[in-house]
Amino acid sequence: MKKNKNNSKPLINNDDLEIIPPNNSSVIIEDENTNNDTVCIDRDKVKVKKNGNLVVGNVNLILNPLKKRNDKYYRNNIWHLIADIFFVLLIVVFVIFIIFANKKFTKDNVSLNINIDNKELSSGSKVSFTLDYQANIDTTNSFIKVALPDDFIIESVSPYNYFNTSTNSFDLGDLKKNSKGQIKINGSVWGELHDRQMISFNYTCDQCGQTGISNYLFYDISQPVLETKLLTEDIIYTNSEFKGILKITNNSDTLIKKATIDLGPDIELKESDLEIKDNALIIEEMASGVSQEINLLAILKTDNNSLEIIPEINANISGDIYSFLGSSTTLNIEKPNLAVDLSSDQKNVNLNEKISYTLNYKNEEMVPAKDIKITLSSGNSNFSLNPIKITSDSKNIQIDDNIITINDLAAEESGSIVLETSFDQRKIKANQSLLLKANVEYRLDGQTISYNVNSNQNKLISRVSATAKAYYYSPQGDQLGVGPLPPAVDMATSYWVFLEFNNSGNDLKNFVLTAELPDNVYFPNEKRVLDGKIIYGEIGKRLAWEIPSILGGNNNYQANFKISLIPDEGDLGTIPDLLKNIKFTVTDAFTGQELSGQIENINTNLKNDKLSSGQGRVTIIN
Amino acid sequence: MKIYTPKNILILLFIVSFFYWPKLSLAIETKDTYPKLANYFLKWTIADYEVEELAKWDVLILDMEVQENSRAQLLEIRELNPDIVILAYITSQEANADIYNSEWSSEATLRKRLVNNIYDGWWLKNSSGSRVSNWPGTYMLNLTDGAKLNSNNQKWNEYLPKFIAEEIISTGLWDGIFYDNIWGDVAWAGSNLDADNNNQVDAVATLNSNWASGTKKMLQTTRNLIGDNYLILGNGKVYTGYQSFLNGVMFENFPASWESNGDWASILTTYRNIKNNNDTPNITIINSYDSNRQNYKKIRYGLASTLMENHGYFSFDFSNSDHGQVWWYDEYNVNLGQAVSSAYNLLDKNNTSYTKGLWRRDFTEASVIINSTDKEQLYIFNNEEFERINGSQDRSVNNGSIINYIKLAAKDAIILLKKTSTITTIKNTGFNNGDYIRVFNKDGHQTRSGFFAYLDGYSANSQIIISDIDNDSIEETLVNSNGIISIYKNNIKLREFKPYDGKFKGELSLAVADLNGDGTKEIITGAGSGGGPHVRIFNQFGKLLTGGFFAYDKNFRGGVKVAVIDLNGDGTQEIITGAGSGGGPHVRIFDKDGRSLTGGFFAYDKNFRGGVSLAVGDTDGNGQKEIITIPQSQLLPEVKIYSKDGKVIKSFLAYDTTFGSGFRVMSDDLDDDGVYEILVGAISF
Repeated sequence: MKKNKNNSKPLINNDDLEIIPPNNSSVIIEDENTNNDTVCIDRDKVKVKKNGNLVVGNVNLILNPLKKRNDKYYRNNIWHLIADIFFVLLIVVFVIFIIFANKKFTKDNVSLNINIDNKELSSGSKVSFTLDYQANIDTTNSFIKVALPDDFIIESVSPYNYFNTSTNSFDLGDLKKNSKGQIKINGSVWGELHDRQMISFNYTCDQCGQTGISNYLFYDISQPVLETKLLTEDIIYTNSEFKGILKITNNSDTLIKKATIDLGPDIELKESDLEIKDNALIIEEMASGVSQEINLLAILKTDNNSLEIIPEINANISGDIYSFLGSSTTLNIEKPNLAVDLSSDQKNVNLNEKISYTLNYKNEEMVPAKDIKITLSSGNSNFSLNPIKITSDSKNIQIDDNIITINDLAAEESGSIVLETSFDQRKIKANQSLLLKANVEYRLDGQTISYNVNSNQNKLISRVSATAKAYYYSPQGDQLGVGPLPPAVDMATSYWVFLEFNNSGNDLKNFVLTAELPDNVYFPNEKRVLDGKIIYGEIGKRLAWEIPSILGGNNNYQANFKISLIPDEGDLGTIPDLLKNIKFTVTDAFTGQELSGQIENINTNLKNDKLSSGQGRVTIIN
Repeated sequence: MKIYTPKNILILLFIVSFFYWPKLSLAIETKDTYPKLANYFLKWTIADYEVEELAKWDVLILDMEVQENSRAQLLEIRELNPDIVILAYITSQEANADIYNSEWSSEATLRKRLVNNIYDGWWLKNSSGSRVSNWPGTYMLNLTDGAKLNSNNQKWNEYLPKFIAEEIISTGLWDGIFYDNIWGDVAWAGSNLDADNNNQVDAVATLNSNWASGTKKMLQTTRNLIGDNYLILGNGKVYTGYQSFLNGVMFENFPASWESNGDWASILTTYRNIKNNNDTPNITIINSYDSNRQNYKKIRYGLASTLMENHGYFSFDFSNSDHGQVWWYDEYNVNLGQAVSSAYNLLDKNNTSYTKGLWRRDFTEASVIINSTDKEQLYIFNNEEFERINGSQDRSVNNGSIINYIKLAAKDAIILLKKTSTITTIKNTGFNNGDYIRVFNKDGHQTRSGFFAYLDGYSANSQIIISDIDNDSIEETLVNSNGIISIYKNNIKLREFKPYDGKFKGELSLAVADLNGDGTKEIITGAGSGGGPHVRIFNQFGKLLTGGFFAYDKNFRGGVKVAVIDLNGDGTQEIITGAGSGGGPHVRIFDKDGRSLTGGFFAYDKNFRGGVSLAVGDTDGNGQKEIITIPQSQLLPEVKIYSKDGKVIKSFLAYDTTFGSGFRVMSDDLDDDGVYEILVGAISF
């Protein structure tokens, strides 16, 4: 270790030492037995260069020299202090002068003038920025660097051959005094409504000082990319259906693709001119400047008196997804004066199953409600409503062509009827619910009021069925089975069994079809399983066909396998079974309901085999 | 210098054996697949229309006059069937002395030449000096050394071999000679024969002995004159003493009453044993005949009997007085493959001696069963299933059905094909796992039973191709599922790759071929429906070899089907494509770098948009592969066979007109007979 001359104060030498901050916890070990002003250092964690010194404590590079000059000079003569202060101030003033003089000098070396061709910018609009520059002196190594606003998409620049796309800079090279030029940048601006954005140009050269010369231009986004406006009836009733028009304008200069418009969770979209997916409207594409009016049918899902709707828009613009908000619209909501309620006690229903609805009505106004007409229809466009019957007392109520007419209701008068109907399916889709839609129309104080009410939803149970058929010859005449036909004692005759499961409706899970092979029927393990898997246990002679999950829609699933019958003498003259106790179970994933079925046994008469049907009675061949 | 070192001796032996090797064996090679067929066709001329028919047989016995009357046809037969063995027919013990007055005199060049040189002392005479006749229009010749010498000091048994060598074999048209009527005795020809020309009736024993000696002398002389490179066959009751001079005999009119006591078992025993006495190569011909061409039972019985041994060739024709038919039977079309067992009696498996029984012999592609008993036999196979031949003649027997038992009438036989319904029989052509496959020949005839192409270990509807892609004699299984091709060997997954970088997960069209001549096969892929017509080529490890190419407009999304064909016969495979559903039926051909080689052709109406599945195979066995197509949908399931230059050769419907869609066509030689079958697959059933 080096020693200092007076040995009383260690030298600070960065070449020799590591300076350990006093709060370095990695090397300092707290020692409760020591004074609070001292610390203990973990010698294993401190690394010191060979021959270096170790300094522990605070180091003050400013105060220590002043302290020394005070001890030596100021304490004895105040003029030393004044002289030192004056000297320091002189240096500071000189430095400031140099900086400002340099700035002013270089700024005058180059002139930069920025122009924009359009001050009223909407997000997505095309814009051209031009920069006119002039060198007032000879400049060498001249560059103009452009700082573009966020999300600005460059389409073209000029002069293109000077432009470096990786640095966004123009290489102007050496310019003679009074050289002029223009840079032009074309592109599109993107941003939220009222965004303030800036473009800047920075001219650097050998004569332009360290930071170069800059100029800036600010502009505002005054219109959104897609402007939306929702137009509805003046009053919308709570939980009722309403019509509206969504006016959409593409303010940008760009083709917009795959835009989604979400009106929020309180608006359940039912029908629209556009595709509806996940309760959002889908615009496949919209050209620049185009306005479109979209008709909507939606259900209001809030009990509030008003609802502010701010559409949330996502759009694919030049391959990137952008999100922004549309214009706000406030809906005025009222509760209907004639309260109508439709409900069913049933939860899950089968297609064509009769469903009972209770229709409650009450005039909550203080004046009579007149000309009351309730038109009933299917609330799900994939289904049509069959004729409705009123199954309860229908005094003062008539029904014709699914339109219920109720005689005038006095103030506060109420009533209830029970309806029964069923639905037909128009289009098979997975995971569907049935609901009854009621359009309520009445007159109150001479004003006609109309609104829609929906019943609660009944989940439609998937329609499932299974078949099991055995063939010796395929429907096309190909031989599948082998052996004597009709089957003969002590001789093997094989057949192919075709299992098929049909699902029309919902997603399903855990499909299992089981069957038993009679004693003299064998499973040779020849199979063609197009879906799921087949498991066979010889001990119990049980066979299981399993499909873990089945997608909704209208699909069928198949598994085929060979079985072999060897009749014995006891079978002579009989028509033996080939497969028996054929059952299936499956869970409807949408309704949670377990579905099951049983299929009749298959025997050797092969009723589905048109070429060998009826040749099932066991014979004997000598 | 020591020259007799072991090393030098070995070198010398090698050199000597090299020079002598051709003399040690005949140039003629007999086939080792079955059935072996012979035609005893004794017309003196061959009509043009008979040429192609006769070229189908393995052995032809043609009258010697054919070399004079139908030389061109003879040469054409050889050109059509270079492996054919053709023997010249000649009678050894008789001649038509009155040939000049025969109605066929103009066609009897050799006979006249022969008769011209027959010395009067060569005729076989009786003790009264009259010539002996055994067959209408002919007189017997004296094969014994008792015959007199002509002016050249030759006897008949010396002259005939000379005639054969100089007039027949020397033409280079023949593979050997067929001596008709070489009997071990002659006393049956008359009771007062005088073969030693002493005007006395010869004692029977002496006569027969001299006859046999003279015949042996004739055969030996023949062999000496024509050498070992030519075959010598004889016809007549089998006489053991002659067999060492012969390559084989004919059992005419099988089972002939005169042969081996006339019973099946004894004749078969003789047939079995005779090969031990004959020279090699061994060709024994079993000839049956019947004036009823449709006596299928007799044909089967003779053919199946022939198939019990390796060395037999079967022949069937009209009668012993009219051997000259080109009758072809369903059984002849079947390739049985190589023999994998000896004949065995299903009724007495421990006894290998031929007795009356239910005899069976197994071949790689089929089994043959013959009932030589006197009653119908029922036999139930134990865990075996066979296909009957799907023939067009005797449908009561050859109806294509799959069976697990047979009822065989007495003196009847059957050829049973091994079932094709094992998916591993489809090689080098891709199939969809689970498709039902129908098997056709080029004429649209369902030659084999259909079957499910299904491998249980792989996803249904995955695309599978089985092929030895790394050339190690072990097949790999390539499986596409969800856009990932996995390669398995011995059920172990070797590797997997994403031919379209995981961007396309649908059905693929797969083909394999050695495109670059490196000895291993490349994997060619075409994206299926929903993908672009992007063809890509990978090596055996799944490494992309080129960026691939678009066979059709790159924006088309119906996919592309791929197959390979050697378009110009240069040994390099080209890639052939068909557009998927939505595209036109335009079949195109590219080299491996995606250069279009021809304008292609429209397989169906050019406005058809249902997609074309295609395959390549030699459907007629001519060594040239054809292009086979089928519409995937929208049209009738019409299979079309095109030549390489896009000309339609054949077409047929693979299913009823009412059957659904989703057809795929493949081609493979399922039974290894050199003719590719056309396979049509469909998932619907």
